Amino acid sequence: MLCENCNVNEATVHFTEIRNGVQTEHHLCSECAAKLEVPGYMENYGNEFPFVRLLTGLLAAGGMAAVQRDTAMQHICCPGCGMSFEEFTRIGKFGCAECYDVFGPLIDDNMKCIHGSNVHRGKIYKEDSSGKDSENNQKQSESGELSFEQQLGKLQMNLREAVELENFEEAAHFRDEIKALKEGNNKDA
Amino acid sequence: MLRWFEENGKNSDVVISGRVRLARNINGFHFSLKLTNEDAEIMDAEILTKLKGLKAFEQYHIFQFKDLDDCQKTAMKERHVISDFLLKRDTAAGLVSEDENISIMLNEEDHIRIQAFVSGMDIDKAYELANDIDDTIGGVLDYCYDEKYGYLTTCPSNVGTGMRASYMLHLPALTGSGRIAGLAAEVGRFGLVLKSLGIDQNNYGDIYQITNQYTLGKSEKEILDNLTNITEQIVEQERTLRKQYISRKRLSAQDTVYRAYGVLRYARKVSLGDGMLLLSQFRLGLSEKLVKPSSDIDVSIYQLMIGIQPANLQMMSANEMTEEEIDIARSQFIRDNIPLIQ
Repeated sequence: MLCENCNVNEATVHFTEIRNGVQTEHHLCSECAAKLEVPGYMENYGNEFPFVRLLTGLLAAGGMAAVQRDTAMQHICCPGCGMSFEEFTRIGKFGCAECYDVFGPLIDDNMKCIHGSNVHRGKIYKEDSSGKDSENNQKQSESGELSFEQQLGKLQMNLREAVELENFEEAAHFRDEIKALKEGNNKDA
Repeated sequence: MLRWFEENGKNSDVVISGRVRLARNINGFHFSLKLTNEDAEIMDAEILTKLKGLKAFEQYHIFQFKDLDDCQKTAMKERHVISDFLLKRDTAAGLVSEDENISIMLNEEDHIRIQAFVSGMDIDKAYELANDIDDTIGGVLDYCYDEKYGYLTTCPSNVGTGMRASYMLHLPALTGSGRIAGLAAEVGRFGLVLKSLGIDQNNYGDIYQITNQYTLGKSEKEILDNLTNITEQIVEQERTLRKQYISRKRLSAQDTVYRAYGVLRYARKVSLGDGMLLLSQFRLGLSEKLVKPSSDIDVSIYQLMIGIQPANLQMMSANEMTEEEIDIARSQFIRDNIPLIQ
């Protein structure tokens, strides 16, 4: 049997993984087992937190099941760096800033699982300009228009729905709108 | 100018140091996962050009991996100037403050990693140092930042503040009484991770690191306060256990410390594992005043623990040493640097 990760070497590490009650069988070669930090296998199990494994586990339980049901999810791809949804769920890391627009809405719930929250509450970058922004946004809200955050939230929700319903053309459209909205906001700032 | 590991700070009987690390990426380049070595070189050069002209970095030393050999890089890692991750990179560069308390790594898992160390229990100071550097760099480079997710990082486990704050702790009594596993589970409930610093989990001088797990949804201050509050409790637990043990078995405790000192002072070959264990016992003896040093000079034992690491010993020799020669050099280094006792 070949290793499920590299598909090159013979699989020598076999284990059953249970995450969120979902049981899956895995077969890896020793190199990939070490690289993927399979618990109990890694003798030098050290510096990284188990978060990445947790995330990929969460995605595997939810996202990848969908991939297996229908390969349509595999078409989602980051226009910035070319990272595919399949690659993202396997590695659990982002390839560029744009990946957050593409995959962020899909893993919003997982972010909550990992951090207990999905919204940044720490230091604000370039505080002065974003301060002005929120004032502007406030004014816009008063005049009946949606603020930047509201627009963004709405678009992200639409994107997520479209992806879940597998309307990928629509999803791509929302993704581009999100990008345009963000760029517009940065220019204003 | 003393380095963080050359002096003893607040609560130094238990807390060796505090460290804050900030992860940042800049617009215009893919994240490390999708960044080619060629692009990484271009990025490093661009960042260095922008930063080295700044007044804040006038006194900083610039390093580039292409100019360093493996031993020099490993020695930097042993002194905590660079991370394990950076050490494994083909292309990397950075800036280090003169006292090595602050370093900026380029092309780590994220484009920029800023880290600041302080001695003892003063994480707020470490954050202040790192935050100042962050403001300076953020002023000349364009960070990847999102209204919702904050500072964008390669790994979702770092997103938001991009901050990891940690204390390095010396916990011989908690280790000796077999309470580390329970403690690690307990601090996990408060969003913290406690782990041994060594590769061989039992053999690294009872030194541990406690770090925040969550980076998103909490402010920097909340994260730092939580870390310090829980660490204060660990410090109290460690102190109570030390006192209990010493009050019950003072002579045995003293015997262990004198034996450790004897070997450290007179052995002609010392392995890394033995050196770490014996220095840990001696450090405990000094902290708990089981032995009295001859001079009033406050020596940091952690400084010796760094000094006996293989690459740092190798750096002091002109020729490449065998393992046995390193053990001999290690015993010599300890003899030259260990404080004498009365």
